[in-house]
Amino acid sequence: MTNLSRQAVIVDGVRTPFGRAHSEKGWLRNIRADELVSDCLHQLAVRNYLDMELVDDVIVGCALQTGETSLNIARQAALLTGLPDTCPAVTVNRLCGSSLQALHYAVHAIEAGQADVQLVAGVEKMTGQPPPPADLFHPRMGMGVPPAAISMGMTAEFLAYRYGISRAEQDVFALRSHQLAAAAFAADRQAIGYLAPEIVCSGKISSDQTIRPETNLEALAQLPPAFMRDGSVTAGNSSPRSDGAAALLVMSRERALALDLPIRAVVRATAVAGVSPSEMGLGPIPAIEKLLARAKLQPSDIGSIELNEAFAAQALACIRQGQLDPDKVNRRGGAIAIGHPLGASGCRLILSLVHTLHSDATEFGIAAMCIGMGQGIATLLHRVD
Amino acid sequence: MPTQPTISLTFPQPQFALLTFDLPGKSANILSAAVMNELAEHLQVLRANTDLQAVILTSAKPGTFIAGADIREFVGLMDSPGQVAKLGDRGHAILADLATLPVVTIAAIDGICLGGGLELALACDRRIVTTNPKTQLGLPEVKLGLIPGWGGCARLPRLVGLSTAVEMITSGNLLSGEVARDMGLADEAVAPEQLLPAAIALAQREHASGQFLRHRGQSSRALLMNATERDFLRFTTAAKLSAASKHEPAAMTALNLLCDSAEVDLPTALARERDAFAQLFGSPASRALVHVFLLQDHNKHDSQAAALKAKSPASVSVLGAGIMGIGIAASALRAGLQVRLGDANQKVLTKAAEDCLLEAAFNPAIKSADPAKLAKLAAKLSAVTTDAELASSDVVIEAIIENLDIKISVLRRLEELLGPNAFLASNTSSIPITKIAAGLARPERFCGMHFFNPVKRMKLVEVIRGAQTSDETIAAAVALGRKMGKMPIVVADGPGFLVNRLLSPYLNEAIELLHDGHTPAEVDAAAVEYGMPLGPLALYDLVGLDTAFYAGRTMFEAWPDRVRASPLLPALIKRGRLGRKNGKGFYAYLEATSEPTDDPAATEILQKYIRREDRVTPQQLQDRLLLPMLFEACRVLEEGRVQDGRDIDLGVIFGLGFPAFRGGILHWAQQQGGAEILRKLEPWRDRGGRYEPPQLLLDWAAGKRNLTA
Repeated sequence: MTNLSRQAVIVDGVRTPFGRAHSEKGWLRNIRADELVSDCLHQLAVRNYLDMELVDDVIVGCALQTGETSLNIARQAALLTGLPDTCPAVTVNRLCGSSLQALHYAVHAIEAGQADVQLVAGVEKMTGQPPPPADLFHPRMGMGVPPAAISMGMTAEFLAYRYGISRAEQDVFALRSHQLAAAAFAADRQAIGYLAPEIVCSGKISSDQTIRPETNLEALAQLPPAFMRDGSVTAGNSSPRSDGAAALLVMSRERALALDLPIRAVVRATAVAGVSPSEMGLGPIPAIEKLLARAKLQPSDIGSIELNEAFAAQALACIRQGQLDPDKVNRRGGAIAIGHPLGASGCRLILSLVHTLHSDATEFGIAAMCIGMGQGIATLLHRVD
Repeated sequence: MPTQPTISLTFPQPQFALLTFDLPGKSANILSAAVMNELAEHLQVLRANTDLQAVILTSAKPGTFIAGADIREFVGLMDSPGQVAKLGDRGHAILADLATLPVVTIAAIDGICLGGGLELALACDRRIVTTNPKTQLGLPEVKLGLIPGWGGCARLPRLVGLSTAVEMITSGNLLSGEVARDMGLADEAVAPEQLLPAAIALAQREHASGQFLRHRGQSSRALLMNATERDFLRFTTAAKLSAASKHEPAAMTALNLLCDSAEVDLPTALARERDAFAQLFGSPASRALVHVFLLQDHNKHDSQAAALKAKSPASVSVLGAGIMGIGIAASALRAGLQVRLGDANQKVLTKAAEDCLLEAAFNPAIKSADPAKLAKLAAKLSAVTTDAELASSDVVIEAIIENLDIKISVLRRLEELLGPNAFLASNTSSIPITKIAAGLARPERFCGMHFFNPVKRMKLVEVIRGAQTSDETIAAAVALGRKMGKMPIVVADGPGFLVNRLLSPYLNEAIELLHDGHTPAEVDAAAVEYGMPLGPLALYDLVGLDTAFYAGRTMFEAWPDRVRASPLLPALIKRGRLGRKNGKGFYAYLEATSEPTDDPAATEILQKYIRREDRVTPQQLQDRLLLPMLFEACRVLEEGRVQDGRDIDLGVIFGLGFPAFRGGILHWAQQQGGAEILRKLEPWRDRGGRYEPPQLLLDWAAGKRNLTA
């Protein structure tokens, strides 16, 4: 167990609204990725009266590193924010798990005494991103992995088929995601002050673009399969492609106490795991198992779980195969409603989890994600009052 | 047995045997039974040679290693399953003999290496390919409704992995030498002149190290891929293949065979392959697809012998920069011809030349124009505005407005300026070529070249012979069509030429079925079920009801005895239902690209025209759509408007989207048999001229003649 004073704690977090990735209709389509990150970092620094000289590193998760995100976007965002030249920055990529991984690196460095104050962020600008190139895979990869495993939608269809998850179940789960997200958003508007608001106002935009409070099962049932003829995975029960960024201010417990900053949660354990690429959606299951073993906790000790909803079929497969309590999962809605800007989603899950831990007064919570090509990542938070 | 052998045995180095394939008198090597026997004899001799260190197999044909098994030989066996099994066993045994020679075996591959040719190479320990663009490797058997039957299904996955093998075998797609090397199908890719030295050097290394023997042990075992990944591969591939597999089961058979055999050893996998192959061989889809393969082969190599000798024009002018003009010009440009694109409207022309260039340089891999190709092709395309420039090409194809007087006046001006060996062609789809020719001073140097839309995708071109068109002009037009990568069929001038003439009774009958109380969706579903890319009424909507009406009127005027003039089309047109272009026809369309949906407003109109409730089964719906087309095809043959029945099947498949797995309208009839066709006809015989069987059909049904030869 880590020395208590060297525990890594989350003192604050913010995110941009998440916009739909669309070159004409996306709300964030005209804002660059580095600016989205910078908005978040700036907000964290300002509202915590943070002495920028104290920041040891800026760690940013980003999955699709092309265009303005291609050459270490973390450093550019840091400079754009006005962090001093002396503050380093690094971009990490574990695809959808990138910003949870960024948090993990920050936590590990703090626990090891190699850093004290870390800015952690995640970003994805999916508007205008080209599809993966045809020659992405080494031709000999086919020895062990079917190339179609790069199609996340196909892996979701596969889970639905393998674990008998019906179209109706998926649509019900998607509807729940929208309803809970809409309710959480409405509640937050009235609860500002209780906890720092989650969403930074980037320009005039103050809400997520893809939450549909008005959607219903009839509307969801109308949508055609998106990936496979006669399939069950649709645009309605999948997470939308999104633009957005999120950031966390992470430091050692002793530093937080010295700066008199609130400790929202302690990061108690981290884990990553590998699974079959064709079942990448099940990645959270072994990651959560490892996490609980490391923290010496039982599933019943966990009060809330933020499980990234890449697809309803995938989230339901995790709930079913991982025997997660569905009532504890995504109480503020999930990525199907809020959106899934890949690199930013890890930090977004942490923000949602911190809110849930406080609003529901639960002690332990897990954020977990599936990752393309067969990985899972999970983070254990402990609420501190 | 051929008197001259195909395979020669030499020793480029002592102890290194070189087997060179060179089929006498042919441009490509194929593995006939005789060639396989020769190979078996050589292998027997080599096995007895105890000093031997390596065997290298190669070809003396430029651009071809081995093109595959002898498909014509196959056709003869289709009705004797025992023979087929024997041929398969023999192939398996000979390749097993090759695979178990005690020395290293190397296939040195330059040029195409397909089907049985690749299976031969797979039975070798190593494969060296060349970087020659002509080098292409693949197992295209599914395109013939078959699967590889000489060990390809068993050996390929054990070499390149299950996913790659599934993709190659279920798609039938070909790979370049470099890609083959990258995926582990080939060991090296070298320049063509390095092929033999590289093969010898590899043989020396392998002989010294003995590594090939260890690999033989590995590759005879089961595959490495976990059950989850394998299930995923099967699930996702099956989803892709399922729609087509009902009529064309070969790819699905291959998928299941490969996945089911992943956990067994090589001999078991080979035995399963043999059984699966035997099930497909001689199946209706396979017969049809082999028929279509032979039609194409015949079109390319044998039909229109004069054109084979004719020099193809080197330059083409296309007059009229509309959709067809641009498409024709782009096809010609892509084929390496010098192209002049002309239009009276300068403003249209500039944009058209750009579009033409972009289409010609399009690279599907990057989904846009290839910049290098763009630059190269730009030099060969000019946008021209004067008659003199237009007339300076070897051929001028007009694709202007469908108006006889305008066509004649433009062509007249051009023919005066034309070079002595040049000719004129019209892309008209509706005006008789002889009628246009009547206005020209040299009608013998004029023909029709009817391309189909979109030109880049439609492989057929009808070369229309007017009453006075000369043989030289026809030969040159056919040669040009071939050069452009199209399949030209020569059709004597007449209403609808070939393709539209055969389409007409099919479309008419669809409307007759509406009069009998069927809904558009029912009629279209029956056609789609048969294999048509879209139903006849959806096709009306696509073409435009007004356009189709005028085209139909030409047919009615030509054959009033059998073309029924329905009041339905005019009724719909009068109510502003013009088809997809204005969002409503037989169906409604939400947007220009939407799927058709049933429209109560259309139903209301159609209901007024129901003559009698005479609803029939889906099978009979198909019969009613197909029989009038078949009879028209027989009349075309009777009138001698095409060279033979093969042109008709080729025409319907590549000109109007008739399903290839049915082999064409005549092949379909032949497979049904004369008695069955007459039985199908029986309920409709009282329906007038269009159900009056032509004499040629009756002769065929009586066993007096063949339809497709």
